[in-house]
Amino acid sequence: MSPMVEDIHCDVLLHRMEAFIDDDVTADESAAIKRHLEHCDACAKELEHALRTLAALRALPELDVPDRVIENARAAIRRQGPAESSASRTNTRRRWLAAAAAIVIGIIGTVAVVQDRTESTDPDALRAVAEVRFALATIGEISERANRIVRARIIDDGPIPQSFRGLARSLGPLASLQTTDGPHAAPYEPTHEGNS
Amino acid sequence: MRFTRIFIPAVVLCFFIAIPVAAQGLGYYPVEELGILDPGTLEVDINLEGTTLQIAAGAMQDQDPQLRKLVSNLTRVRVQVGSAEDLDGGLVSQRIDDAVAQLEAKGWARIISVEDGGEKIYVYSIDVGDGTIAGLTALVNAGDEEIVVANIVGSIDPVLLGSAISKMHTMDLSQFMPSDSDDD
Repeated sequence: MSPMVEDIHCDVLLHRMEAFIDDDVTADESAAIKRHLEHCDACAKELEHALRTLAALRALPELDVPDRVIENARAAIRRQGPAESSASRTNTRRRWLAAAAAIVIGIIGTVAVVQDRTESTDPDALRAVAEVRFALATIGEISERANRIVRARIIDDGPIPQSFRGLARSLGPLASLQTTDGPHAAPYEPTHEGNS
Repeated sequence: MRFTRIFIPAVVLCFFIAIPVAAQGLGYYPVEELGILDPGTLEVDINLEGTTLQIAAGAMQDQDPQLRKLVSNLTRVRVQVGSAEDLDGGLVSQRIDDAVAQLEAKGWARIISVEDGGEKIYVYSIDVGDGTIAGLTALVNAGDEEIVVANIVGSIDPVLLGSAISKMHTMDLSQFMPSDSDDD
């Protein structure tokens, strides 16, 4: 049960916070929210965080991202609800694009952080940072995708014999993978210690 | 005489071809030259080399020092993502198979090779023997959906790389990915 302060519940306020920030609430509602904020530190902090995020987003430089990638990001957001409720193989269609789109959104956040924490305001430098992060995230996505396939295969086929080499062991998310093609030639061992 | 006329120019040609390839470094693999993706239809095309990467590392002053160290030791980052809808699936598969064969012939080590339905994922690295890798090449053929090719070159600490890609991934992607517990 969320606390009620000054005639309004915290969860109601959080739900209406965006409208409040956009000044899209009635005078009475605005007054109730303001009274609540005076007495509720948690909601006041939430509002402060939201305002700071909004300010950071508004301060973003324009990124030279291809229009189609941006459109894919929007499409990914639009798809998010139904995709979660009915996940199936067909929902994974164009998953790489969705991943790329998500990374682009991550880049926007990254640029805000970069701008906030570094002295560099050189757009080329910011773009280079964003692109490096994008590239690393793509590799991460590839390893994660492969990881999920291997995990699913283990669930379907049972444990796969141990076969692990030094490099793969040290590659973090990649380290949980070491498999080869073919239905029966898939040496793989999870990274659990003591698994001999 | 005829042998000389052919042999000497061939040697000279090989010499001039070899110089730029060697200059790119051991971990260099020209994924953009595989002829798989149409440059005009790329969804993502990242091409960062020496100076730009140093600028990026320099701009990461107060960020994760490990990420900065990783980036400062990179000499090339190449990533292309494109739609495969209008491509000849057989040809794409053949070219990726050829690339895999080339990588293995050149001593690249396979980190990941996995196939699921129509999707194939390959990740290769080349070791320089001092605990670092000189390059990482990733090839993804997601059937008629996407093609992803990537090549990262430099003096790469695999631990730093693993840590970086893990952070990137968990930060950016999970919210958009369908739940795979229900997927397979």
